[in-house]
Amino acid sequence: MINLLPKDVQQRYHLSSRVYGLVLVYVVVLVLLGLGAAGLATYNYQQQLDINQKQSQINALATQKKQQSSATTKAAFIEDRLKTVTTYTDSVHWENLLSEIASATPTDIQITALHVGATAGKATGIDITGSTTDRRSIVLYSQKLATLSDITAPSIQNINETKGSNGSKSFTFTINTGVKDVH
Amino acid sequence: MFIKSRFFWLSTALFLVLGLGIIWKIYPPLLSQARQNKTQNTDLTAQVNQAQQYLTLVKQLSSDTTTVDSLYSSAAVALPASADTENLLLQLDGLLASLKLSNVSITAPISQVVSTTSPAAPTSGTAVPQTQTGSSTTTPVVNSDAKSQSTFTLSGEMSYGSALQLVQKLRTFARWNKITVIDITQTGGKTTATITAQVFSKAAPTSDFSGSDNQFITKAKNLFSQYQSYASVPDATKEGSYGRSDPFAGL
Repeated sequence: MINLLPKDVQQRYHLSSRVYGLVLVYVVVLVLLGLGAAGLATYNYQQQLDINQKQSQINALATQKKQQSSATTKAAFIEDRLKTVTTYTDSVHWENLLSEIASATPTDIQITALHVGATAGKATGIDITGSTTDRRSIVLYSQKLATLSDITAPSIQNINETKGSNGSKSFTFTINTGVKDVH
Repeated sequence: MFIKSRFFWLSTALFLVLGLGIIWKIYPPLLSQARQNKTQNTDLTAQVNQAQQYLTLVKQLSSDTTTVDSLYSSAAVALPASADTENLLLQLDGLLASLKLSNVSITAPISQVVSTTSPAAPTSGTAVPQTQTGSSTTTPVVNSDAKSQSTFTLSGEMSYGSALQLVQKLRTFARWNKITVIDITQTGGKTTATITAQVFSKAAPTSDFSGSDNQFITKAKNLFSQYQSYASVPDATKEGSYGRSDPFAGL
């Protein structure tokens, strides 16, 4: 087919069709951008509906929670006591300590006084007062106490010798020790 | 060749204005809102799940009121909201009876609780002790010098073994306590022991039940099952017989 139109007219048609093509691209891009924005707006709207629904769900749950206030008050009390148990109970097994002291006492020693507790200006400790007829047993007792796991640094505070009318000797003594793991 | 086309310039300018307008003015707020909504939605989902979990646990507790009531009363005996010395005395009385220690006396201050931050033992002259020996009791006296902790003493004639057993029982005693002093003396063939311990009281929590631990009931059961109660809390509406024509008449 032969195009008989003049060259400049032909060029103008060519140009117009290319410009229209380009404008079509512009329109498509703009439409796509608009659709994207509309999609985003729809997504936001749905999310907002979802948020509102969850919010009302939370409010409903809060109302239900209020209705169970009797149980929650008691549960809060129990929970609080569960958390604080260590603060209000003993960390030292005193019964084991007393048992260990009895086991470590030499057979020829009689304890006359045992004090466990804090004395003025001192940490918790143990004062053992007793009597024996053999001075050596006091030293042995002190050494034996040193081997006990719950006791620290036993030291003999004093040994008093008493002589009987028949010439027999007896000794009274006091041993002081510390106690491990006392808070 | 487009340069000469006025239509091209107009449409391009319009495209740029509209396109850039959409990109700069419409997209950013939409995107930021979408992000914000997504975060809020995730948070709310977590909150809903948490609230549902919490409510499930609370409903479980509500349906098992016997267990909750029992645990609550154990907790209230272990660490009451008030000094509750009267019940402490009843508990100690029961403890001594269970160990058959009839010659041991209980001394405990009857006091009102005032919360204090620094623990301090009652000084002489401020605490009004109530002494109970055997089955006889004296009238409770309200002490104005109240503490959130009070000290009780168990003293009397007992063997070393009995003292040891008493100390052991205090560890599992229903009312939580801390032994402060143990004194055992031997004079004239008799062994006398004095055990001094502290008991505490703490105001009921003001915070809500957290419900964060699903094993809460099991843990509470395990804890409170270790402790032994020696007396039930007196309830005048349920026990005792009342009414005397002459209350001064001998029993």
